[in-house]
Amino acid sequence: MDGEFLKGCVSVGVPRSCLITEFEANSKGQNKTNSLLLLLACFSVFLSCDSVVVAQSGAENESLEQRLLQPKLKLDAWLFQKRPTMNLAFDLNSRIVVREGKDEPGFVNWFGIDFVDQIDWNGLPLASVIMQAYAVQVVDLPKTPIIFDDPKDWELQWRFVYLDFDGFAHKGYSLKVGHFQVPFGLEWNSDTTGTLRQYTNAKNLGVKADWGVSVHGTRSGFDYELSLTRGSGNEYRDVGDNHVIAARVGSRFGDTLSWGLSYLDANLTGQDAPIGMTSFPAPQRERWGMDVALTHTKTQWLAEYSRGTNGSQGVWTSLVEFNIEEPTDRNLTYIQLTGSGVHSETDLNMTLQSNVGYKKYLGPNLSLEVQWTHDIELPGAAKPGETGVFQVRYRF
Amino acid sequence: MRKNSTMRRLYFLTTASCVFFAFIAPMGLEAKDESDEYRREVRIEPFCSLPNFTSEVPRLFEDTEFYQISSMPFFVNEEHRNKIRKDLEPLVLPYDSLGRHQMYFPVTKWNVPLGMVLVRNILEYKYGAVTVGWRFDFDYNFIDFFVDSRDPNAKVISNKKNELIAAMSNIDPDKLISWLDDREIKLSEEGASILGPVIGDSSGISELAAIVIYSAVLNRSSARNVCEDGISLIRKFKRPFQELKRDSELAHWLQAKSVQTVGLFEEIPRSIIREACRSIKATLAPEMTEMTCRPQQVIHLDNKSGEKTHWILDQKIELDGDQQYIRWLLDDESRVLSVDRLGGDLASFPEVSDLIQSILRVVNKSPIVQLHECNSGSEVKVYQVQQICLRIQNALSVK
Repeated sequence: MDGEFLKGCVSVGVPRSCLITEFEANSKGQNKTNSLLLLLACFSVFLSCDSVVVAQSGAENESLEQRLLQPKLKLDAWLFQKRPTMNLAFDLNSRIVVREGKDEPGFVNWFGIDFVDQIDWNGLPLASVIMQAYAVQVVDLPKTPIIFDDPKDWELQWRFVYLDFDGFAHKGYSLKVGHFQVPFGLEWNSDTTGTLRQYTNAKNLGVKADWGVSVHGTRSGFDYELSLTRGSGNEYRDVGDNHVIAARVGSRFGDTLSWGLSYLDANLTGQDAPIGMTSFPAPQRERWGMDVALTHTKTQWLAEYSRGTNGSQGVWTSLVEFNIEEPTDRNLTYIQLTGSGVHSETDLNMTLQSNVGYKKYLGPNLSLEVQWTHDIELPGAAKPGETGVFQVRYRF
Repeated sequence: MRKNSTMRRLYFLTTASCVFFAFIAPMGLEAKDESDEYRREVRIEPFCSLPNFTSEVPRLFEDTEFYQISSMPFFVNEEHRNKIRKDLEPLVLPYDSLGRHQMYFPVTKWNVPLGMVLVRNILEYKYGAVTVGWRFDFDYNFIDFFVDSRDPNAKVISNKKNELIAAMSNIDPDKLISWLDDREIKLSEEGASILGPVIGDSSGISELAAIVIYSAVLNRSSARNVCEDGISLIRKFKRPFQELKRDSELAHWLQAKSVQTVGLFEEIPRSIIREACRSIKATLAPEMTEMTCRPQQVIHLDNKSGEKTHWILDQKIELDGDQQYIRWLLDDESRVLSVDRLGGDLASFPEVSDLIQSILRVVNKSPIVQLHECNSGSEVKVYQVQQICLRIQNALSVK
């Protein structure tokens, strides 16, 4: 953690221990009240540090930013000497999750390597290489993702690992091979991996990134991607006839009004449930979706809606988001309302949640995020409650 | 009971804080109006550490055929930054303009660059990030640009870009910074007085025009201070002729003309060819300016001995609705040594055969055609080709 950053926090009376979240929290064995206070204190740090940075003079502000940037610049300079096209970043993250009715807070920590390079053939560009390997630790989360074996566990997670043959991207087509994001809905335009702000893909589709091939590009002003993947999610496995066919076509995202239409047909392997789910009730899924983004100066409305089937059951999922992003792109505030429903023979099981979140960048390499989720309605006998999450992420 | 009460307080505290940052804090920022710095993008997210603008580059080469887009990464260190800072004074240079950047070069099939493009995102504008891409020739002259922003004035500026570039070409590029206000993102009085008649003088357009000019100066300075070594290599781009294995037709053709194919091969950038054609057409009588001038490609063959150099020009012409390709061979004094139809089989194309015979009669009569001798189409064609070679030689010798 950056010294200047800590100094600023301590100077406004916030205990340093809040920033070294997991170890001290566990070792002290806090009860549920303490865990709530932990989240409250960390959120206070968040706001206090924000105030410190805002209040600092320009020179000091630059000094903080310089310190945050130095490790990355040194690494980049060294890499550039070795191989100019190679880009490497290390991703450190700590996330605290507090759930109403749960005594202890849960944690997600990761250390990731993010590798990007370009391959030439006879001096001409051939492909881009992207490899993101993450070692992820979970500790007593309210809902442990199914890729982990125990509530306290480590797992190697492949985020995006692919070759993108993009030498002719300017002609409107590229070919992707590997583990990449399934093209569907709002997620296609922004990478939410590793952030608290999420759209509906993981829960709705049952798979967010998958192994396979895709053709993508921009033709006649429209962005498109068509993919054929295995339906196995994080790992590479086979259960027979497993597949995901997904496609999205849409207008340019940077426009004031942009839109997209998506389709998915899947038979998932059913072993990698996404975050927030404990099992796959229906590996066979079909979805039709549409998404819209309306952007005006600093504010943006996002909406997506999809409907289809899980096996023989009709399902729908929707999201509406309003966000404000400052012109610096360094402060993002968002409010989301997400809903989904499953039509059984006699009943409609509906989930309705609201998320309020805020993200702040302290320099280009360090981000702080907080999100509060309020369950408005949950299916069956599940009891609605509150969930608070705080995250610190540093890349160098 | 106590748990619910605590949760409720926490929930309201968080919601109130988010509402504060969502609505009240931005109002404070609005009161401050725009920033006084030209900030660059956040680079924390994956892939954003090196934004890829490949798909934007063709927008700046709509007039030019190219095969692929090559790119050259470059790294701005503290030393470079100090040089760039001097070029931009008295404007502030953000600290995060250090680090990696990418220069794009559309190239021919033989990997010969046709120009260069640098794209940047500029932040802290009231409409969010502004993306500006500048195309330069290898002398760092401004050729073309695009600006993407949700600001409606982006379209106004894009529609007037030829006029804006023309205005910029009338001033020493090193003095362009004087067009920018040194305290706010807007044009200075000098800049507004020059660009006002060109793009309009509303405050909104002044701000966006300032960002376009700023990125032009910043990109040019970056290219000159950081990439000069690489670009000078490209400018003097030469490769052994043996690398031309793909164009065996050219090699056989040259050998049939008794021209040694041992030496250095240089494909002339299209920007130089275009300038040469433009200046030649300006010297011709109006009834002759419609004639095809620009060659599809110009190749300079510099033999290792240094004694003999040759020029090969491939020109597309239209005869009776058919497109034909003519290949010219000239020596280093721009004398035409040979003219052929590309693809052979001249007997099947009597119109082409007549044209070539007519050209050869002109050449045999006088090895160098002067402007005042241009009475026929064939004489104009020979004059154009010879002048192209001469002007390209001049352009290369200046560099």
